[in-house]
Amino acid sequence: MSTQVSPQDDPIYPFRQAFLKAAKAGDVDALVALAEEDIVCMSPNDTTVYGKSEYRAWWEEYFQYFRITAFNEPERSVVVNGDHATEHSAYMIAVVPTDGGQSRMRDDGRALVIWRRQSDGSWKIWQMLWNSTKPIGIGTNRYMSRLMQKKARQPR
Amino acid sequence: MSKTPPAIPQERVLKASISGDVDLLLSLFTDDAIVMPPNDTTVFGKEEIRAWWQEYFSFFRVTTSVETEREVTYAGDQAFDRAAFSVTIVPQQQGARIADDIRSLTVWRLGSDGEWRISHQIWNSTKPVGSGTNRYMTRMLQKKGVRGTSS
Repeated sequence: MSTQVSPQDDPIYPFRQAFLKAAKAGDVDALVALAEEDIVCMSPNDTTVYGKSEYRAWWEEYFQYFRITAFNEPERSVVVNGDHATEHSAYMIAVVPTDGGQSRMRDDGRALVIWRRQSDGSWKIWQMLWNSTKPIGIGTNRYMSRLMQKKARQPR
Repeated sequence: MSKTPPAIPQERVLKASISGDVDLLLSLFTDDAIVMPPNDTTVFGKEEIRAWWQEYFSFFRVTTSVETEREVTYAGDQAFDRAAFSVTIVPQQQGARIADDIRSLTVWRLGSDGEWRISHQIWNSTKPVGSGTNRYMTRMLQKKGVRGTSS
């Protein structure tokens, strides 16, 4: 039966903290280690990413362009149901372009993540979708637009 | 032997969206549902969900919603529903038809009455910034801003 857990009893918390730490460190291996083989990742204004190898490529590309300087979650709730956990969170993120040409960008958003328990008792991300609460043209949208423009300019 | 629960009533979400039927939509959510529309604040609970959809339908009408992908995983009293849609909406007053491609992640909960209801829902667009859903959310927020200053 699905049950909302208190912050003290939240089994996902250490794994979510590991995710935030890896994202801030730009540590792709650590991020991929927290993902299921059949992960489905749905980032805004981009196509869906299926499986661990596409997920690795997505983060590698992201860190080519951006460095995450702050990543905090002021709000989250977790519902555990057997080997599945539903995590809703609100986040604040700040990123800086790796080329140093532009200023820091800040965004506020929400994520819904479905985690799956592993045979060793650890938890991994199975499905993930997020979006921004900010109006169009600021926040995440700004850097996603820029990333798409850069991708489009690259010779194929 | 346990009874097999019915399938999630995903077709009712589609029917309610196309017909703009807020009461039918509301009947498909749990009292404590969390809904996270893009470029807007989080909506908590049925009353806020009602207000959100009433405002939405005062500005837009959904004319088509074609499912392009769906995977539903049942786990006890929960169902994890991942979907993609091509949608078309038209403004209630003026303006051109808007097409968008969206993905959604919806968690359903099976109530003690044997009915599935949505407990968590989030979606976003695969379209580049400035097109698709973003266009209509921008327009809606602009209208809200205009209304705010005139009151």
